[in-house]
Amino acid sequence: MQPPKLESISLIAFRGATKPLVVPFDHDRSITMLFGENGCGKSTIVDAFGFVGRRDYGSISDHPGYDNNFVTAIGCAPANTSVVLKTSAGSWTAKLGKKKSIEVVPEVGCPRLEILRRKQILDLVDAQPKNRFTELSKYIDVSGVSQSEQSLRDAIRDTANDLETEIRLKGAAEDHLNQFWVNEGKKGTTSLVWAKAEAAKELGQLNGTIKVAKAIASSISEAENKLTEWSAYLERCKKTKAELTQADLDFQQVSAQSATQSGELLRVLQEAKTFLAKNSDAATCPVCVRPITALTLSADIDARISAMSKLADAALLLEGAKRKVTIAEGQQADELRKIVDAITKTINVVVDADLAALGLQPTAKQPWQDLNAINVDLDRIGQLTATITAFAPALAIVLKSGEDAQKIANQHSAICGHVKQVESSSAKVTTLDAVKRLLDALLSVIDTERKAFVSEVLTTISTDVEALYSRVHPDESVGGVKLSLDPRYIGSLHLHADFHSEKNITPQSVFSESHLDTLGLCVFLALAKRYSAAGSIIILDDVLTSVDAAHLDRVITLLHDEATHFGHTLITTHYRPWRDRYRFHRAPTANIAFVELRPWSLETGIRLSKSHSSLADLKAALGASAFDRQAVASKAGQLLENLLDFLARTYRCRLPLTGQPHYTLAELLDCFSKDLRKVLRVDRLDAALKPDTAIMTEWVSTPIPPLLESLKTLAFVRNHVGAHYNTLGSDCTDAEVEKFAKMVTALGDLLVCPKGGDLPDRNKTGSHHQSKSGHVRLFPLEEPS
Amino acid sequence: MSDTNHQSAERIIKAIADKKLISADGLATITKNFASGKMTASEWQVIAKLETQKPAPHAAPKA
Repeated sequence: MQPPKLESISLIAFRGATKPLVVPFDHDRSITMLFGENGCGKSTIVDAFGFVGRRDYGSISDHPGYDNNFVTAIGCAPANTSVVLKTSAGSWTAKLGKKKSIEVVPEVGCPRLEILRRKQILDLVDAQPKNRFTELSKYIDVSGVSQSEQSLRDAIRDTANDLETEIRLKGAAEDHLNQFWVNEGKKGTTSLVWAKAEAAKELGQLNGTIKVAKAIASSISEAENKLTEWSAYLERCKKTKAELTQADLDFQQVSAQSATQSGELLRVLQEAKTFLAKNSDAATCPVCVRPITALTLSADIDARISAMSKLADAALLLEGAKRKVTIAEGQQADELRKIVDAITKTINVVVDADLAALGLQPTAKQPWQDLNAINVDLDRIGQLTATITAFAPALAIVLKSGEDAQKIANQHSAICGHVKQVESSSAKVTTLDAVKRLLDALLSVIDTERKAFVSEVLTTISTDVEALYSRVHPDESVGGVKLSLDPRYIGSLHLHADFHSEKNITPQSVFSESHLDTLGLCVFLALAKRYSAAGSIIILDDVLTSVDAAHLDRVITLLHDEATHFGHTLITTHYRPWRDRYRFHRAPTANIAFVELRPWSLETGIRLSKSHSSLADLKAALGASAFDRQAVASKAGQLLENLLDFLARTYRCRLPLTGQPHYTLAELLDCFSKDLRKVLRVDRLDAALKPDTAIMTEWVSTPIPPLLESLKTLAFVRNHVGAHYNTLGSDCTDAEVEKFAKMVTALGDLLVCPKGGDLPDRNKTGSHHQSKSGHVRLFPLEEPS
Repeated sequence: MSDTNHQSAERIIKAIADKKLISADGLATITKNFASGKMTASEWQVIAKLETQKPAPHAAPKA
């Protein structure tokens, strides 16, 4: 199945395209040269390919601080910005979406693009190894593998940490057990054996002792607390009664000071005030039934009560004291119950306790049994302090026994914990160690295989690059191109080459700029060839500016040969010698289409003009309906000079030595020696005249000198009509101009290969020169001596 | 993910299988997630732990 053919790319309001622009591509030619001087719009067209094919902003994003608002042409609305790429398989439209995203419809199927800019060459050749790896990462992408490998490394690190932790915990537990073991006199064979035996012991009786001791101590302590609270309660009662006595005494003294200020009267007045407050509309006195005014009477009562304030204060204090006594007496039953309960509980705990287990005689219970025998609660309370005092020696023994038992229990608990830790950590260490060793083994395999894979890829790429590079630089003692991973770092890529006697050096140290340019180009071509899908579009954006004539010819040959691997190759350049190679048939033109860009302006946007080879140009001028004799004469003269220059250089013909190699037509037409003219001829394969036939058996031989002799007779046409203003030009007829041009066309058709479009400038057989395809042969090989 | 990534992953998985480092179950998990970069540290640990708990035919390699 044939890969789809590139048909056109259309730009609307995109970067330099201030006016709509359509760039057409020739179906029959797989290479397009886009020529234009700086600022004509070449990068805009290349960026348009990136915009639709890679959803990126292209060359403007190469510069730090770029503003992607300028992806829209000046004076245009972002909503109108679009690029349409059309191939024989369909078309894809890219527009600006939300937040300057690039949206392509349809989303899939767009031809794969490989764009090489000069900056990438510099980034590739000059970059640090890490950055170089980044530049090539999309070709040697093992990112998924690397991510999984990194998580494996994380797993190993985590496992190692866990293993270290368990080893540390196990060691600490063993140290503790060893210390116990030493303190206990190193009983048994090892600390762990002893510890396990200790841990296996039952502590039922010991725990009982601790429990009883704690209960006795706790209940006695509680009884003591309750006794203290009871004493405080009694003291509180005593105090409130004393306060009541004093308040009563004070009230009686104040009452006695004034008969009119008796307490009874004050109380009557206060009650009358309360009555009036509730019955403010009363019209008669409730006592004497005389008419009254309630407000007036209430005010009068307030004045009298105020005058009796001392008596009132004393009355309030007395009332307060009475309330306190009442409250305190009300609490007695509750306070009594609390202390009696505490005493009863203590008696029960001590009496029920197995004192022998605590190292005491049963008689130690006696004080509590005596207390239990008292039936009256208040008496029992009164005897409590004495009972506690009598039990004090026994309590000291209880507490000591409890503490000793607790120590033993604590040590047992610690031993159990440490034994458990040792056992648990031992098992974990065994597991983690095995896990880590397996993970290490996996990492070793993955690391080794990944590096080997990438190295093999790089070796293959290096071989491809070297093959390409040696074609551009044959017999120059440069090459040995080698891409290799730096084993010390992840994602670090070295580029080495040979330079004369120096092997494996960094090429940027010694290579010329043009050698570095071609090296970058060869790396790109090798990668694009290896990894591009069928039908890929390869774009070389102004990548070669520094190569000299000889290298340029080889680069052109290389690009033509390699173009067969891609769907379409687009070359942009402002390098006129490259463009002129094609224009003057010094390079194969059959497979290449030309597009020339005219100077850009805001008003006109990007403008295209078709460009042809000089032979095609001349034929077009001859075939035009309006005969432009000056243009025809000029074009014919230029082409004739080109063809004669080619022949003269091929045979090293003798020409006058001048400061500049500018020769007249007459000089060039006369430079071929007599001996050379005898044998100078072109053989063309018949098939070349019938490009569609597969039968290529008939060679047609044509001598060149007769054509040259004829041209001599009309060579003046170029000067008189095509180059200068003079009256002689007026004497030339259109027929003479046409005849001159047709003779030049005939010479061109004779020398320019119809298959490749190039001149026969190759010496492949040692007997003649031939075009790249071999369909045109130029005899002889050298001027006869 | 690119072709090179998948080719690299296939080569690595084959090497792991050839060396019999892990059994079919573990290899299936790796095959599923390795190339896409979705293998996590805990997944590696789980696989290794399960493998170490299994009896022969393969044992964890000696350090």
